[in-house]
Amino acid sequence: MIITCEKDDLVNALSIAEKALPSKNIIPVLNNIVIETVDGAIHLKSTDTEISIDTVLNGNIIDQGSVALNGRLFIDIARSLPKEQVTIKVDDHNEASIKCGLSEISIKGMGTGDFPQLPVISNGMSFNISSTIFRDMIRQTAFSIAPPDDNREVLTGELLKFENDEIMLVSVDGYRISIRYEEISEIPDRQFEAVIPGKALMELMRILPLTQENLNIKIDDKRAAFNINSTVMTAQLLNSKFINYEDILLPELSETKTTITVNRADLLSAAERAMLVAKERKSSLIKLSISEHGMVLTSNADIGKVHEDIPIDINGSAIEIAFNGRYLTDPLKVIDDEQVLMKFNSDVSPCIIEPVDGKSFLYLILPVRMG
Amino acid sequence: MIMMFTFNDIIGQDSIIKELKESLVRQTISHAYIFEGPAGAGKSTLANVFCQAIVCEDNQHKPCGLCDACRRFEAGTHPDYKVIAPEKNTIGVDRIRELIDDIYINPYTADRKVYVIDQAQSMTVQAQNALLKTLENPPPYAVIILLTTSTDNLLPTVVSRCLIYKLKPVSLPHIEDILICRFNVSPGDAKKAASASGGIVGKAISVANDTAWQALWQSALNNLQNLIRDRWNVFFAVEEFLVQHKDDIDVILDCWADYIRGKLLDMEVSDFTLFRWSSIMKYMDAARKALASNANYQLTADVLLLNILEVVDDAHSSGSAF
Repeated sequence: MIITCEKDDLVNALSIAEKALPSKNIIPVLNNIVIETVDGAIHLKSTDTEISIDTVLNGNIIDQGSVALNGRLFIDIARSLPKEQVTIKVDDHNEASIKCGLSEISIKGMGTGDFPQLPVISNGMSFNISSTIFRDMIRQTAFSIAPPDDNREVLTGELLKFENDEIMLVSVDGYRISIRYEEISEIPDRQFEAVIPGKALMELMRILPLTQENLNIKIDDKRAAFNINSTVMTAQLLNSKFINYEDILLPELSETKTTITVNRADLLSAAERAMLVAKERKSSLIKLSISEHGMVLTSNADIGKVHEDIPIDINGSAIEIAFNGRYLTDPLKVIDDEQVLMKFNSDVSPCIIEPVDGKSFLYLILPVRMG
Repeated sequence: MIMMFTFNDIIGQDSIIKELKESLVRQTISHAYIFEGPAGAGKSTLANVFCQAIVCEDNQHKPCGLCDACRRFEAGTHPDYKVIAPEKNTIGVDRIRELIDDIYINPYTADRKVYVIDQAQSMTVQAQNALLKTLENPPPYAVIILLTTSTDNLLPTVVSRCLIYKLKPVSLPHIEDILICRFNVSPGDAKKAASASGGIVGKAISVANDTAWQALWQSALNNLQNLIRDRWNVFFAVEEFLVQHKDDIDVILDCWADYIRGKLLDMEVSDFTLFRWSSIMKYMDAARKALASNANYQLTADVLLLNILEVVDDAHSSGSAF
């Protein structure tokens, strides 16, 4: 095999393929990245059995072929090359010579026969969405994915669901629920639900470009494939049914005693200042006192205390409620709206944060009982 | 890493293999197994073949050894087969958590995902407890196989959640046959290796090809024969031999026991001599037990030799040939 490409293109493609290199060395052959010429295109492939990536490298094929090279070494070499054209030549013994400018580096590779075939979704359902929107959907919900060592495995992923003309992404970690809704123009042919591992979504977010492109998502009962530009990332789904978060949510939505409208940036910066003191204590307690005079946000620890007055529009009765400060700041950090609605029922029932207009997101956070 | 085994390569575990094969045909594969047996009994080989059969894509002969899944399995690159083995003698809770994180993700290519935990008894208590919930209620495609020398060293809560197969010791003539037919071992060596193996095939195979072991076996035999013939004249020589081969005392005692077993089966020996041989056997057992409970090695060896000489002397003074 002989191929040529620009150094930057090689580094870009390899940084995408790198996302699916395994962090643990369980199956040694998976530490490789496969370079393969298929139908006139140079493909780079990698998999850790959870995530698989197939990306096209922009370059010229002089001679067809394939090779598997140690992924991390290949990436380190590519990054260190001068900014010039790179020629990769592989001989019959799978030894790859990487030539760039005046330097030539040879590394021993192996045949691609032992590398697993990347999974393909043949008959799943499929829809298109803007890559920037899907990126935002992940960004705005990923913080409440349960950590990987959580006992409830299904919560270490996010629910991707299509229902009533809307795509939604839901994460639940036992203390809060984050939901992001998005209407899509092209409607899938049927409703579906899939639980995508949190790790796969985080890697996808890093791969998705900052510019708006079309992202095609294909899902069957075992895996989901995300197709963006010339890259396909396939994630194996979590094999469990997502928890019935609607049962928690619906009673809270039906009754609201107090609704306030508040400037998001004001509340966030006040809460972040309060956290400076509050984080001294394990519970990171932040107290909100809401009345027709406005919102008073306080935190109190041995080391000091914070007092913040925040103007609000209130509808309903006064309320005092306390939260773990991080649970309050996490959603405020990822919301882009200027104003948000906060709905309260009692000091022991969850608070709901929603946009002032429409229904693009919903956050539910549990309060901390005040002693 | 080349692994190419079929069920036929597993020796003397026919009833287990029959059940496992049936479960493959009827699709009644359990979610958790324990294969229990001493080191070398064939637990790993059995698990290896069974796992390959589980992921094999052939409908008739599992494992077929020809399909894509088998080919990858044999190359050690099947993405749905993972082995967890001890690091620094233990399997910690982190390794088990990794397994649990991985197990709930759908299989990559096969219909099932198989995990083998080698030397499962080396899992820490925390690791075993972490595994409990997954063992009890794994995803439908998962199979977990624990390999252990003894279920006594696993938590009862782990054991009760698994289907247990105990690998039995194989009869000595059967081992001899296998050594001669499959491994081209000479009949004499095969007999020695079989009797030293205690019914454990792996041990028989390893000693049959080990010339150092064979030399040791021969000199152990010579030492016993010398002791019986020359008695006190060689006491210190034999003692020296035992002290030098402290780490191989089990082999030496196995060798002596094998020699005595041959004498006991000899029909021409009188009852009186039979009695003497069996009392030597008893002294050897006592020595083994003492060593197992950390008795002083040289003292135990001396006591054994003195006891043997006493029996031999007694035989000589009563005029009966030994």
